[in-house]
Amino acid sequence: MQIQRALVSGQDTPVEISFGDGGTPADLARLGFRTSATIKGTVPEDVLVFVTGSGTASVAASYAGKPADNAAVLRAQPMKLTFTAADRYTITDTRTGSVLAERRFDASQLVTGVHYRGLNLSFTTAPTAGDSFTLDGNTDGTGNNENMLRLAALERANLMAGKTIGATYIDHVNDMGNISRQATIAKEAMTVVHDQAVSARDKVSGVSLDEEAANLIRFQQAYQASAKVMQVASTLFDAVLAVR
Amino acid sequence: MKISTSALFDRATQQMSNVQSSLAKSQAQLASGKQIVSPSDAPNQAASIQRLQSVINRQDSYANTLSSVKTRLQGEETALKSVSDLLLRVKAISVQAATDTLSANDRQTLAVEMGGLRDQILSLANAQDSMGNYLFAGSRVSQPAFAPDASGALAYQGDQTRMRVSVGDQRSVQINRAGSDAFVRVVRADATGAKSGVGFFQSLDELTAAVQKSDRVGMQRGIGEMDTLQNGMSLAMAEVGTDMNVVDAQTAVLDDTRLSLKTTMSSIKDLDYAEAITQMNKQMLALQAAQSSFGKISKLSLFDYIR
Repeated sequence: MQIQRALVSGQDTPVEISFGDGGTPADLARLGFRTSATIKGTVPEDVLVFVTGSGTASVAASYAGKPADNAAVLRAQPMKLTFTAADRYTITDTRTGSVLAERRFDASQLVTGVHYRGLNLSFTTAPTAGDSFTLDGNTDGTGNNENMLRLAALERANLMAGKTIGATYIDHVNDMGNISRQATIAKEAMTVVHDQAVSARDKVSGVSLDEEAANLIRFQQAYQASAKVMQVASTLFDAVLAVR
Repeated sequence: MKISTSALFDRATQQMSNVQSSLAKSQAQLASGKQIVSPSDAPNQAASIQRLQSVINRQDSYANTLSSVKTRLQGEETALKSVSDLLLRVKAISVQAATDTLSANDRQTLAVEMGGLRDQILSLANAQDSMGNYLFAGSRVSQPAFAPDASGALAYQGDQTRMRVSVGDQRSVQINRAGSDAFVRVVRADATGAKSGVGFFQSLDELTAAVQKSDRVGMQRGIGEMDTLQNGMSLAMAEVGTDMNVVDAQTAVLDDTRLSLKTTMSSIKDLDYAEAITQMNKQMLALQAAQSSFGKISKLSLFDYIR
């Protein structure tokens, strides 16, 4: 069998092989091709059910209860990773001894590692047969400072509307200082207005002792002048009456 | 303009109380040594001071961390150095034991000493810091790093946690070494070529047993394995040494940073005494002048002349 395809420069020219209506993956297998169903990226579904075979089938699934906290589940399940050969490993539950997974380890990849239920183990040197690693929930690691580091990191985390707690506090102090300063300036301005009003009022209704004293003297002197006039008049009358 | 008598008195008292309040403020500045007594004096500078203060506090806590990290690393270094010396002694004894001229009895005497050295190494592997935490047990600090496991064999009981602490805004330093990194295993191949890992203390114990039984093959193998053990120890010591260097370098950096921050803060926060005292003298003079002039002016009255 021969497949010929002209190459067009600058374009992808894939060779596509598909099977017809009555075809099965087995037909492709005969040609030496493997068929598989792959999902690119992540899917939002929690459960995916793949059904193979011909004919009709009905599948029902239901889900109840709270979703399990993966970290908590893993923490409560100590596991052991054992390399049975340089390229094979098994993961066993150390409490029950049951084998959870048995897989091939590809040491030829650029980043070698084991990925199991969200756990990622990477190796800087290739593991060999007989190596084993114990994974547990770190329930007795009382010297672990991971939580304290996280707590200490809060100081520099932008928790309050994009700012750190300290910066927010400083902003509040700054705001209060500004308001207080504004109030002081407003008070000074109002005092000037008040003082002007008081002095304007006092100009009209206020009492100046010196002024009153001056008036007193003026009126006293006017009184004395009047009295003198009367005295003079009296003397004049007396003189007139004395003419006989 | 007519000045009423009450306005004259009111204004005089008010002016004097103004001078008095600025005098009180100067006095508060002098007493506290601060340029800004309350945030409302200069809101922007108050915020700068707070910000600098919080940075300085953080640098201070880094400095405290550094000094305790240094203590911890020194503890590790001392323990590892002693173990290294003891391993050298073990190797010297085992090489001596492997010479053909020694009798079985001589070797048994040497084996006794090796047993003693091994116990001393174990006690160093289970060294504790001043808080009672085991140095080489990873994060399982409350249990000995090396203890008999369920099968009775001496095995590493700690974990592989490498704890780091922040010693700067962008710098952290590792403060512990897993015991299994310092007290390394040796890989031993048997007659068929199959490899198996043998623990640090198991290897030492087997060497001691070989010396005691004059097992020539066992002694040769053990002496070869001593090099691996010594290498592991040297590597761990080099790690501690590197971390100590980081601590020293970071301490120097922090000291410089703190000094420059404190200088900046002092220039904003601290009072210029010469200026403040001059200011206060000026205010005092003003108050004195106001008081004495008011005393004289208030005595003036026309009534004095018309009695």
